[in-house]
Amino acid sequence: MLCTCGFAYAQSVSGKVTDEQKMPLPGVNVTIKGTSTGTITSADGTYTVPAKKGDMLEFSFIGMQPRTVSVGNATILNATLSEDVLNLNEVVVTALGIQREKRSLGYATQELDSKQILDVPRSNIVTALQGKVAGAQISSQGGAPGQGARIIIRGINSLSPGANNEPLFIVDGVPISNDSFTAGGSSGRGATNRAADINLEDVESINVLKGGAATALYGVRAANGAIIVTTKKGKNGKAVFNLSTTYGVDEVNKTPEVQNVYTQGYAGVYDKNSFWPTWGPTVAEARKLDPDHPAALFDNFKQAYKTGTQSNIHFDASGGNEKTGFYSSVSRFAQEGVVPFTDFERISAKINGNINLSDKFSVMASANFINSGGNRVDASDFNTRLVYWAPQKDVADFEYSEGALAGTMKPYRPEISTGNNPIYGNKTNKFIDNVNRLIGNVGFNYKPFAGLDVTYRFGLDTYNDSRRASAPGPRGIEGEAIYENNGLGFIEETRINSRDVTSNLVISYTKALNDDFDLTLRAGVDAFERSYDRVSTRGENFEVWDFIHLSNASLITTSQLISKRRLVGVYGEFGLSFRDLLFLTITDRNDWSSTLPKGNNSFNYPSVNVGYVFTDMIENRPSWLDYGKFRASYAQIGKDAIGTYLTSDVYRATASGFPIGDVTGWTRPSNKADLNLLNESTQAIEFGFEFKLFKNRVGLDLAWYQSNARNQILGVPISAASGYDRYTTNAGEIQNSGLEVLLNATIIETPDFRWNATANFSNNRNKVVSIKEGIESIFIGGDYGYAGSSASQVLYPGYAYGNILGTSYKRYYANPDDENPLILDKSRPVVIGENGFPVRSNTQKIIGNSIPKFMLNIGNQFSYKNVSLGFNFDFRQGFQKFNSLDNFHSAFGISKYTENRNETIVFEGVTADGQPNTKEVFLGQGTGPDGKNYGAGFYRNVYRGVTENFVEDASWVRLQSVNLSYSLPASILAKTSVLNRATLSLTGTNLWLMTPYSGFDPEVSVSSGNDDGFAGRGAYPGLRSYAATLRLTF
Amino acid sequence: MKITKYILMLSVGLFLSSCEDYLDVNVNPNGATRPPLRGLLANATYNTGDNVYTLGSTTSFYTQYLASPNQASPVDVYDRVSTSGTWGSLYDIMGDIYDMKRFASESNSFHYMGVANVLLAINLGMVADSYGDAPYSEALDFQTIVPKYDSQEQLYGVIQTLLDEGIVNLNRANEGEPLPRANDFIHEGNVKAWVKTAYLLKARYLNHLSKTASYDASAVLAAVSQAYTSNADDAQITQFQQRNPWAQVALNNANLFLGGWISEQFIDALNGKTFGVVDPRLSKITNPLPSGNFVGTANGAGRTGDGAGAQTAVYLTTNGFYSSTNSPLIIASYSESKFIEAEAAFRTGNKDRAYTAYLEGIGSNHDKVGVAAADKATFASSTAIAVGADKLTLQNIFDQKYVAIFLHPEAWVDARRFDYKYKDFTVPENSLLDGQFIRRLDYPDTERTRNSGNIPNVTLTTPLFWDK
Repeated sequence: MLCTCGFAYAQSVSGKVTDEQKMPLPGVNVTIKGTSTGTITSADGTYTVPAKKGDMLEFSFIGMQPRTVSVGNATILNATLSEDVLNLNEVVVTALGIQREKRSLGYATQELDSKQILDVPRSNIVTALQGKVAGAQISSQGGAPGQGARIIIRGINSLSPGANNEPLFIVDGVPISNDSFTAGGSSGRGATNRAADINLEDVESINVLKGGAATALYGVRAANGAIIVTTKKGKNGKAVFNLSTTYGVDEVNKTPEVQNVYTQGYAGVYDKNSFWPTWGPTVAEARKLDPDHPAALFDNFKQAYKTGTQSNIHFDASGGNEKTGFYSSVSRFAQEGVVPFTDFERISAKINGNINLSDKFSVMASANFINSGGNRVDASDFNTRLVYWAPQKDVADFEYSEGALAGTMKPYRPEISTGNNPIYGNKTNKFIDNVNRLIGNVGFNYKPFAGLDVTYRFGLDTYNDSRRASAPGPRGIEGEAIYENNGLGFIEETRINSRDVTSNLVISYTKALNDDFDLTLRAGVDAFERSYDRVSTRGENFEVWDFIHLSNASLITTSQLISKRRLVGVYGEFGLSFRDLLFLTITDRNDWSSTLPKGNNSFNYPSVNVGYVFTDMIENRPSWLDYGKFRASYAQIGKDAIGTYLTSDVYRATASGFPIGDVTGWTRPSNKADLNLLNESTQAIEFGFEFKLFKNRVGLDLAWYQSNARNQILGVPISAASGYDRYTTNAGEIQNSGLEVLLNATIIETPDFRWNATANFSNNRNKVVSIKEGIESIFIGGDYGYAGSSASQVLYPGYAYGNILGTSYKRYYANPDDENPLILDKSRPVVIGENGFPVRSNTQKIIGNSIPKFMLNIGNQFSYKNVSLGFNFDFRQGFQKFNSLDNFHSAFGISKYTENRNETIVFEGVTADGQPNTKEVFLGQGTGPDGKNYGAGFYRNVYRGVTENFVEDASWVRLQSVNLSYSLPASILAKTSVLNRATLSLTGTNLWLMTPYSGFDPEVSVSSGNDDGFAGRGAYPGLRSYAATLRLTF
Repeated sequence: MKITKYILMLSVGLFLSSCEDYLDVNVNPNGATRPPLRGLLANATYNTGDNVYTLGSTTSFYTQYLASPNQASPVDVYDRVSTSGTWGSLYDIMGDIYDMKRFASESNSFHYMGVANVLLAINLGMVADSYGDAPYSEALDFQTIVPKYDSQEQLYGVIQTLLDEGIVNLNRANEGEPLPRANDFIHEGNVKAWVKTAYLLKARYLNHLSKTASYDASAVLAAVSQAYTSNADDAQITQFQQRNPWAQVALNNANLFLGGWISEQFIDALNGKTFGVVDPRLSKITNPLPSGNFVGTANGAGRTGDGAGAQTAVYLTTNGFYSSTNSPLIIASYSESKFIEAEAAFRTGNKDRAYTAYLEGIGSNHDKVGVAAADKATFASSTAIAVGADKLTLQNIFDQKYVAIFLHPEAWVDARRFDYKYKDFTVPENSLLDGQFIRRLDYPDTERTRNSGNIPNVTLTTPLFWDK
């Protein structure tokens, strides 16, 4: 490197840096190449540096292609920087907040900048990553306001049903909690994952570390990957102000098809007070008997769900000078759900600042206060009540408005005062949560001499979550219809206090050993504590029907749970680079965890990764190959027991049915502890390539990985006869392997018009390698289906994760030994019984699998002058889900296919001896045309009891988002003396969906755990949203 | 470099001294390593009673006490239902009782140990009579995660041994903790009552062997004579957190979460249709239809009409004797003991003793249910009931015992011993076992997935050893 350090007569060069739209660019680094002299452009894009002729000025800014310009005679030097969609973030933030050059990394990472994150307004940081990260499977649990979303990177790494397979969220170097507890009656109500508290407008960039070598320094909590979030900081120069507002509407994007031919009654007989909503006669026949019957049936789904709204307003002010930077923001997000009486609000206030106290010492601090919460409803309850609701009545007419019964529920069987209305249920049966959270950190950085950097960070993430579930009691008025779940009135108050404290010290030393070799050494100490405390009190049976207060209840029960865990880690890193093109990094970390047995709670795990920029070595490389890198890594990751107190047995005063009066009942724990619990250990290998082609117009990133997680700590289900229900021990191994491809291309680039395309593809093969000897399988979750059609997700050794099991139609095998006892073979003919109906097989068999075969996202962005248009398509293929909503619909004659209920057919299949079936049967209820008694009919007797009928292909293709934006041109902005930028964007999310799944949007999930194969009644419908956003920069 | 060295030394120093203490937070604060004996007693007594309810809520369909309002409901039509919850509850409480006995023996609390034995016998008896072979010798103490199944005969031997040892311990002078009143939900700390219950159970299980060669009627009579002398001795739960679980069924039903519908078989036995005399217990158990009649639901047929609008069948009500908020949950009763005595006496040929016991069994149950003395007398002297000692048959005894132990799982044992020959008792409509009666529960799903290597090969019609 040339050193142009000579003092010629003092000269300074100044100028203005703008982007391609002639907008000024504040915050651009302007450095004299080869020196440490430089500055940052101010708010209007201007700069001044003491440079002289012959110097090279380097202009660099995140998100823009860097430029180097030589200083000539002129003292004014302007520069135009163009957007660099491809070479984004030359410098990336990796583990522990350490900034590394991307070229030196031996593992895959993926970065997103603020623009990409905010292309479509999202309320949850996890859903903002949807479709953008190769290898990440992100599922919105449903469209409830504030509802959680789940992210899994590179497959599920744990056999344990309750295990947290999600990556660690780190904000400004400090891990934060992403819990989503369902305590206090909130299960099924769309609990929020706590990372959703992050205000996306405060985010500068997100870097996704996919596990293995990337997270080796982070230790156990990042065994499933890490999402590094860097928030905006104040920059040197004039103060910058941003204001953005969004307003949007949401609607349900998909509802099941329902029949509208048959109305209330049973076996074709009309009865307007019937419990059965649609087993009666046709609408025409009913109208002859009942003049009050409407001309057409209501579609319950269209009537029950409404249009929701969301709005967001954000203001931030930041600034600074050469020594300090300051950023502050305030925002409010509010959403009203598509389900009546649901809402969510989040208010966030943030400040952060950094000060250089001297040349060597700087301090940074930040504090973010967030308040969030809303009224949540139980999706399963709501959807189930909709199933029962007779469509001849309008479900949106949910309460009486006048008369003695004003304000009470209007049931669908009014003459007998029964028939739960789900909307009335939402109005009265409430669950409201209110979270106050403070995320703060303080950091010190000391650079005693060149090459040595000492950083200490202290972080705090504490929240208290106050939840109230309540319902009023009956009023006691004659003829009052009671909503079943309200019982006699109840209130349940839950208070959760959670606190995470992190303390991290890292010392880095870099030195150029000689011309060819650079050395980096790091050592650090990390301490972490999580404490959690929950108290719940429930009062039932109100004296005064509408006094929602514990003092009004006659039966009080309470429970408490306390938990604390601590972790200490020591780590080191050794890095060597050769001529800036060959990189070797070796790390080692040792952890001590409080959740492992005393005396055996230490575990160690190393990693090594190599990066080789081979294009620098090729003499005459083709002109289209700008950059090519090969990556390889091997890492071990240790993991402790995520649950506390698993190494000893304690008895609890929580026996079922107690307390009775003032007597408590004690019981042994249902989980048997393993006194010799060991840590889990995962081994991960990764290979990859990065290419930049055609003058950086095309970027390609390929990665292949395989990881084996051994000694999995899980609660192995054991025979109840042993005296316990589960045994938490080391048992089992799970393997994940797959391919990730990320492709970016600037297809057209002209001064006025540009077209960028990106595609990311991933597949993950997931296999349960082994389970502890003596255990056949592990049950991870289930969903109810009528009459034996319940589905469950179970893990078997040698089989993939995510299998869905249930009952099926019996298949014919000439040789019974041919039948696979575990896997259903749908190609075989169905056995038809003597009664002419298909026979059910009760053996639980694998019917489908909820893990997609591959995921692909393709996005396009067009920009013409001041207008840009972007859209992306998301594909997820090759997986199934169990639809319990359709199961209920078939039992109640609501599904569209039940319109054939009065037909007589011959079922396709063979009889018990293999002969083709010829018996005609009536599908309806009661006495058929042949005089036989068909009882409850085919759909209730047979169809609804077979799981196979409801495990559906859930693959999809969707138009995930569309955005259109317009920025006011510079000429107009100049007229206002104050505005630096003004952009208006219109966005649409989930505008189009193509899927064979018959229920709601198949992305939704009943469970927030690892059993995501259920998308039926218990799930919120997915949403289609339209929004408009205005952004102003002053 | 000096600074780095200092920092490193400081870190390591701080480290070694405080690391161990800092990480020593894994003692669970949500419980205790030694539970109070009376806490285990409260749990053991209450939940043994609750288990009688849990098992009864399945067996009542097989004995046609209850019927499902849905046509062809699996439990009605002898479909294989998974009873993982029942199995789990039985073994769960046996684990707690086992621990209670273990802790009690450390302090020579003999009465606790005696009670533990009696409770173990009750629960093990329910397991053996429903499932046949089941784990015991390798169970309860985590000896293995896949305990082997002991044979039913062995289990019956264990039950008698447990009861005998229990009686011995209960009769000893206590050295450790005495039985407390408030935490004993069955007998309120009354040791003598426990001894009587132990004898009644001995009689009950000895009587189960009526179809086998080893049946010893005199042993049954000997045990029964040391058992109960009046309804006041009954082993039952009378305190609940909210209400008797059958009351919850009735309350749920009233709120249209249907359940507790009474079977035609039981209703006809009391409304005069089967025996020609109306049993005054009927109106104490449930309420009539608006028409004043009592009509039950045929098992397997489901509700007639559509189940709404005017009521067409009777069900458990929140003011019925068995299903009110504070109704007793009966584990063993004086009425039952009288019928055991009647049956055993009959089998020895002592018809007089049998007849007296039979009438006392009926009358004591009338008293228990709250029938007025006049109605009780009228019923007792009706021709269907007052057949006279000479004309007394096992049919009379079983038919009347059936009514007296409504909802109890013991009735299913009787039904199988009597080959379901109650008057007018038929297989349910839409039944799945080719016209045969059900003889056992299948092993639960949890055992099939967690202990499949040990499960015997049985079907729902494989009879238990005392049913052959």
